[in-house]
Amino acid sequence: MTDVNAALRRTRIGDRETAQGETERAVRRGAWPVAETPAGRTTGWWGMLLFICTEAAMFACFIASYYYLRFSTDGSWPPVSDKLPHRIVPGIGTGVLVLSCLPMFAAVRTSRKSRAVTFPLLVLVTLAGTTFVVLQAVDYMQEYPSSTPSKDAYGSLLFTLTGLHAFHVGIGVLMMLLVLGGQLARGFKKPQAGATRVMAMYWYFLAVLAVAIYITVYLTPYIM
Amino acid sequence: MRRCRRLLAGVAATLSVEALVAGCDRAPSTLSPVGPKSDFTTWAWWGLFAVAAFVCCIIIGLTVLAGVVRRRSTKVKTGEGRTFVMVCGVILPGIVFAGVFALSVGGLVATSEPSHKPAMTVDVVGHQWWWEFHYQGTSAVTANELHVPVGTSVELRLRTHDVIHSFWIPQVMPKMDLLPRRINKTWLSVDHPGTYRGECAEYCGVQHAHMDFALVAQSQSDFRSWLQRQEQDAATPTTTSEQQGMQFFTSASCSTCHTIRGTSAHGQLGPDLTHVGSRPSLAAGLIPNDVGHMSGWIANSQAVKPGNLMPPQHLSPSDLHDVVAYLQSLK
Amino acid sequence: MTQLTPPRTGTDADIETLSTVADSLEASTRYDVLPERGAAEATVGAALDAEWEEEPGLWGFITTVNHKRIGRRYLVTAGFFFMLAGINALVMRTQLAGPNNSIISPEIYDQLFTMHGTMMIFFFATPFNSGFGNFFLPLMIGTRDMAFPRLNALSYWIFLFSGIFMFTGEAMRVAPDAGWFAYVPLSNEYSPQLNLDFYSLGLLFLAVSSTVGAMNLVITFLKMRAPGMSLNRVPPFVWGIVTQSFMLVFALPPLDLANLMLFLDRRLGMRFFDTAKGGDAVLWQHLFWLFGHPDVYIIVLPAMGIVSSIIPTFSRRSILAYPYVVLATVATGIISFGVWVHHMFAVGLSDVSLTFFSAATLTISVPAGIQMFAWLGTMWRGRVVLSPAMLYAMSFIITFVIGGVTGVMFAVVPFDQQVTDSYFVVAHFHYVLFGGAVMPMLGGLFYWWPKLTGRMTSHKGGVISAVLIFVGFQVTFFPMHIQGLLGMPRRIYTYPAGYGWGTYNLIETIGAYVLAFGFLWTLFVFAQSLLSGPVAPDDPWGGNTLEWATGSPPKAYNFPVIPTVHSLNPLWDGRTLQSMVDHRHDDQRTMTEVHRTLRTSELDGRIERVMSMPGETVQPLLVAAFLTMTVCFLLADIMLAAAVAVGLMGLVIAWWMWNRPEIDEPAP
Repeated sequence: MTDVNAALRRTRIGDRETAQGETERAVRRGAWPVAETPAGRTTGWWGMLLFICTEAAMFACFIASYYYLRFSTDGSWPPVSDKLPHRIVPGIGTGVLVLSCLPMFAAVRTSRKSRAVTFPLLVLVTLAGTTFVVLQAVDYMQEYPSSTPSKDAYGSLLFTLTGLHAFHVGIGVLMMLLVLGGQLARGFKKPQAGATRVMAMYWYFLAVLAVAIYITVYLTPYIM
Repeated sequence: MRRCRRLLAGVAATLSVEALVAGCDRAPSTLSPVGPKSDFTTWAWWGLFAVAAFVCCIIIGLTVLAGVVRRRSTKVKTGEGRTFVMVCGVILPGIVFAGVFALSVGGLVATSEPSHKPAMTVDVVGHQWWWEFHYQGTSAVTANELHVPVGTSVELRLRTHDVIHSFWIPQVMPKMDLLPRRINKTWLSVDHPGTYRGECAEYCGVQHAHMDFALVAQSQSDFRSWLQRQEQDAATPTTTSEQQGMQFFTSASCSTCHTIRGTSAHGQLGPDLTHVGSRPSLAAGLIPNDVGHMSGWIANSQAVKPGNLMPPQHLSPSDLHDVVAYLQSLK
Repeated sequence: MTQLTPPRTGTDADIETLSTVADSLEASTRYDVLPERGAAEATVGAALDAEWEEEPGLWGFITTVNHKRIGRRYLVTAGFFFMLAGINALVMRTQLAGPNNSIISPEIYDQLFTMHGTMMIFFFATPFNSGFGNFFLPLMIGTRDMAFPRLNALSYWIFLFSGIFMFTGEAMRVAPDAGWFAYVPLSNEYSPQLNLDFYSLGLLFLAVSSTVGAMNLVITFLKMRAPGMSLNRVPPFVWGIVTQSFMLVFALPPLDLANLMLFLDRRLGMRFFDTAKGGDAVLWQHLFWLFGHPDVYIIVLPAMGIVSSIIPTFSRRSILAYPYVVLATVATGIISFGVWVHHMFAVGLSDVSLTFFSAATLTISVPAGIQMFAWLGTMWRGRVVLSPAMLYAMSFIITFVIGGVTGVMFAVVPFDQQVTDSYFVVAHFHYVLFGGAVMPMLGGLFYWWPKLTGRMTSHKGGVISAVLIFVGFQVTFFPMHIQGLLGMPRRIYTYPAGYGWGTYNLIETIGAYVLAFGFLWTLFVFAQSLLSGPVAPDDPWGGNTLEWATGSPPKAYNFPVIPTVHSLNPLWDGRTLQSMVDHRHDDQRTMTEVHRTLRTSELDGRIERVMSMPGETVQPLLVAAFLTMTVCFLLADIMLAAAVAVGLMGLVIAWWMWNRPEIDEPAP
């Protein structure tokens, strides 16, 4: 904090020479590091937003490819018609991931005030993410004998699309552990609200994606 | 010195449109069309070219002049110039583009369906790196040689045996791709008898450069008699050499890849050789079909067309002589 | 050497005029150091120098996160790849000089043209733009570094390693050989060697670099503009780079997905493209061109931005119809995602989709027309100064308009089907890409060389370079139009005599050598400038944008005092430079302690807070090195080692995230 204070001492807010009008001066007052509320979005926030954009574009193309191949296939889908995908286990996984958005949301809301509450909430979210990955693995064991990634395009799509998503959830869990580790190591002193907020964006994205993929991979074969 | 002269000739040819047209009679030029489809694209080209040349002249002229005609006064004009940009950059091009779009839609209407119902259908199969033509409703199968009657539309059903190819006869029809597990339907029609160069236009591997075919447009009667000959089984060998050649062909590895109808050779990988003696060229238009070239091709086709799928054949000179004699007899 | 001086005076009432026109062309005064910058440096320069000084030697080289060093590296590396890919083309042109040549084998020829396309598109054009973007975007918007300096270093290292990876394939003679668009099934089951694994892995590898680099540029633009630089005061070049970066964020995913599928198909036996097992070959084409068409504009838009920088400076007036130029840039970026099927007109799709994409193709020509006339209008309403950079900009206009009109022709579906995959299309896209990107880039090099290196180039040498390259280009590529109309398909390693193709091919080969000589000459001009060129002043051309307010080359901190931007042409308005003097005691603008810069609001450029920046670190190089190892192990099919390398990379990333000053936290 010393450098900030030193800087503050030397700052001349409202310097006649630098006057640029009321607005700018007011903003500048509010924008100095010790301000009450942060002004504007952080670069980290934008970074996560763009990252989500590029990921969303890729999954959108992947889901579109699923339907493209599905509708350019004559005959039944899945090709082995009586082997429809198992919807219960991945359904539970998707449900858990979607519900984990609630503690995530609560964590963001509390992160600026009480980090003692934030921590257990984030632990809960991490556990939910882990559960999702485990349930996805369980589903693979169910699917495996009747469809494999190299048997036909259906199998390739099923395993790769869900696998890529589960991989992202796994990354999310690791990032969450890093945030948790940071909170532990810094003794809840150094602010983590920014990291929590950015993490939450990613988590909501994973949850929305999980629903889209669940509907595409596990439900549409039943109705189309 | 000769190169130099060729270069000068080339420059001259480039500069003079007349020389261009006169000097390239033999080229499979899209600008000398012989069928309704290429008629349209040629006509569209000259129209587009005129507009494009006009636009280029104006913009290039304005650019060069802006550099050459420099203002004497140091004053430059202020102002935004939005109206200028709006008119020249949006409204004028918009009018031109509307015309181009009309041309595009008109072209699609004009070329997607023939004016008369197709009289016959040919199945075109692309292979690495040759073409196979099946005449529907007959047993005729040819390689790298497509015969059609003049003045009637012919339906083509394009498919590929392996990778993607593209079927293009510059003087007759624009391209259509051959895709795995799909059949693309198109048509062609030729106005004048003659032989026209067809090419593969989609990169398809090492010998993409040598995947040509000949489109032979004939009068109705010539075409009919040609088709009748092609429908017949292979000619029976007459001389001893030819008989031995046939013997060798059917018993050796040749028959695992090639078919000769009327014999026990039923291979499917290579071209059908039932009437190979009647073809003007070998190896998808690469070499002329005569005894010497054919012998060389059989002995070591890799030296002629590196990478092609026919392995070198280690034949004794007498066997080679017999096989070539036999194949040449299959008119 | 042309030395120009912009106006240095002006009252508030004159701002409007002064900010659009630099008309004191004959003014005799010129400054080695701008007086305003001099004053600011005198006040805080010493403190900033001490803080921003970089470690010398090798360690400094591998740990730097300075955007200018990284930007220069991008330019040098991409320029080197350009040379290699150009040599590939020269060998091909030699082979094609006469009919039935057999200088190289068909296998090698196929690798050469595939590598030529792939390297030029992915490893030269895009990264070269990134080089300009990296170096000049922070300078033009008045900040001290990129938003994520370490990520910036990472994207450079990955770019370098992936380029080396690709050329290793070529050196081992197993370079990709299925064309730069690598259509399946030729690139799949018909290519059993490593060739296409180099392609799919190499492009996935590079995509990491392009994606993070693009995000970095966008966020730098959004959050780091100098106070007062609202969106309507952002230079067109920055808009070009930002639009390009936005496009990369959305265009690379389909390519990545396609390459991922290709890799899985080839290596793990998956069936995405296997038509016998429910896959589809056309899916590859859709995914590829969904990336591929936007990529044309990814390459061309920043280059057009360079032109929009050069032309105002050397026409001595602000760009005409600035809002239209910006809107045209952004509109091009958006529309470009809706035209991909015009690369597939011969695939046999329905007439409805052909008609739609024909119309879309015409629509995307409109924004290009807007920019074209904005440049012409700027030149005509200004006073043109024929510097080498300006000559390149004019070569660009001439060449690009020819590529543009042939592009419009491709909207006519039957005509497209007639000339696509012939030499006509080869001519067309070289007019668009060489004319639309390489010429502006060379112009940009001449324009910004003083800023990049601190030296001036020879005026005469530059003019000769522009003329040689213009002539060489036209001689090489113009005859290809005719050749295509004469029915010569592209991608053939040789052609028969007697079709009238030989003459054109010979002319083109001669042109290619002229072009190559032009590049050698240009290289010589630059080398001569580095060795013995005169030292460059801060603002040699009397430029209009903020980069000219820094030193030549800029100090590590760029701006001793972050200025307040007052107009679109801050160096001509008279007040922006003055703000550097006025604020020189304002610690919020000088930020002499630690590495810091200002963070401002996205739309209006209002100050939000001071943010601290990371210093030198070896983390980016380590991540890139482990990623390289991963890719190599994947290529060699040693999965366990690849997994270990990924794990190590994860550890370094964790270390990196642990201490992340760039995600600045709201205060307690």
